[in-house]
Amino acid sequence: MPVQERVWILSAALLTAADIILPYMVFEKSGAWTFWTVLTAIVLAGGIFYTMSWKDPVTEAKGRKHR
Amino acid sequence: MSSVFLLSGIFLWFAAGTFLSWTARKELGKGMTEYFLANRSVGGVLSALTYSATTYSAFMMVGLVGLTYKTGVASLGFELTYLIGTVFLLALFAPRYWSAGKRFNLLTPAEMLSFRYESPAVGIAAAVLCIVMLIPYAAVQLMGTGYLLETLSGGGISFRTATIIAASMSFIFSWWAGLRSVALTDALQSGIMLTASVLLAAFAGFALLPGGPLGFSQTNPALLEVSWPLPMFVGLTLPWFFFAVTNPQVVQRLYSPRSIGSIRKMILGFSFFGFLYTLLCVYLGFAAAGLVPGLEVADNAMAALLSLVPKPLALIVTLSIIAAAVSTMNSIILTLSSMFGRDILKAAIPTLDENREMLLSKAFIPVITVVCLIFAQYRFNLIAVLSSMASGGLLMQLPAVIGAFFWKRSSASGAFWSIATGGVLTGSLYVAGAKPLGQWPPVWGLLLSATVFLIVSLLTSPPAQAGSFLSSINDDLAGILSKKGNSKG
Repeated sequence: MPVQERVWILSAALLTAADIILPYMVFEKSGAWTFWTVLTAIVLAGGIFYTMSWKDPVTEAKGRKHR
Repeated sequence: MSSVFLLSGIFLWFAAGTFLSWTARKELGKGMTEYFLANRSVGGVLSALTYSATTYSAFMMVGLVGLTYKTGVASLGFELTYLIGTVFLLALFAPRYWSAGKRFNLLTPAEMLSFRYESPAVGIAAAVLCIVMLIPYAAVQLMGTGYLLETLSGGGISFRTATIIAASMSFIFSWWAGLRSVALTDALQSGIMLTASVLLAAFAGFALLPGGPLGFSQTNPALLEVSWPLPMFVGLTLPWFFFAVTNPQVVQRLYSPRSIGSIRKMILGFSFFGFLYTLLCVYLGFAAAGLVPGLEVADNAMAALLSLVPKPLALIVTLSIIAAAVSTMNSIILTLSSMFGRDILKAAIPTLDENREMLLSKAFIPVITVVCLIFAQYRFNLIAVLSSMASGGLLMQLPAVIGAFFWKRSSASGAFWSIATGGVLTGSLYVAGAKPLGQWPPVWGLLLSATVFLIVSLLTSPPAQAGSFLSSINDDLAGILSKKGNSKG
């Protein structure tokens, strides 16, 4: 698995854990709206950054016969 | 709102959608890939719009608004957790599905499983699970439209008439030109959905709420507290977090973009659509709590809110809710019909030629539309149970999907039994209303499904060509992530 993907999966695990745990431990009485909104904005920005270098691969012959 | 006024608006909108379908039909070629995937030639913006309209159903403007009205900010967490899960998963899985689709000429999500595991039985299990779980979910879209029009017209438009109107639209938009038609009409529907929610939120915030746009935070501070118990949050969020790789109507969309650049635009476009639409719908829930407090049935919050706004705006919002329902339903119908043809009929009769496969798949479109319509007429509570069961049940494909792309050792028996046992356990727990140790059915179902997948895969042999499949996908992925590939997009 490419390094970019490993970093992406690790980030996903950490941010998802934060997304569930922090509102119940820190923001239960106030601040949850802002927390969830900012966290989502960060993930969306991460998505832009992560996919920025995507290019179309040079594909080989299509179809199942090559297997 | 008078029935004539409502029906006139629906007629105009339906005419616009039909015109788009007719336009799409002129582009329609022959074959299954052309009909169900638009010949893998959909551009990025259209992909983003159809993905958004397919994903976001009538639940957003009715169910989510009601949920926020009743339970507050946790609804925002629930819906945004779905969104971030989708962004994470699409970045990982979309290039893989797209590459596998092109390389191996795959048509449906279940076909990817049967191809990768070299077992038609795996594809059949996945297809049957999807059909069983999604028919009630599609029927709920009709029910939502039925209740909405019946309520807003004061009974002038009956529940039955409203559901027939919505089912007819779904049928025409999907039947006429397959995905070409669905994608174009979805673009129209997603435009209406976003425009209507922006207009209604602006009107509620600036013209109706006494303390201004954020006035609700002073009148209802309790709604800003996280009120859901943690098991409820996890139980509801878990199936939705993995929606992007377990719901066939959205997974199939990963096969149709014309290039990796289009896939990227689809992911980013959907992300921003989803973020904005979610914030607006949740805001409307808060606004309704401030403007029409004390409703016994929270799902009526949107209808109550619409009674306070000018009729033209109420009509646009109503059309947007019907648009959300129809765009979700026609995508489900189209995907299930392709799965019926490819994953069930073709698997059972390998000699079936493409023309007959196409004919029988298309014949399934009216059948499934009528089945959903009949389901909707019953209006019985079991449908609500089956609807919430849908996302939980479909989650049971997750171990098999992850294994297909990431674990060479995963086997056909492991995939088949993980789908079968997880699906049966989740369905049984939902029907029985059981939550062992306080945890919701998808938690137990996924635990069983993953365990069965791991153990059975380790005890049985992986498919002979598993390594070849994975190396092909990984080669493409290396090209996608490398900075040396083609730049056409």
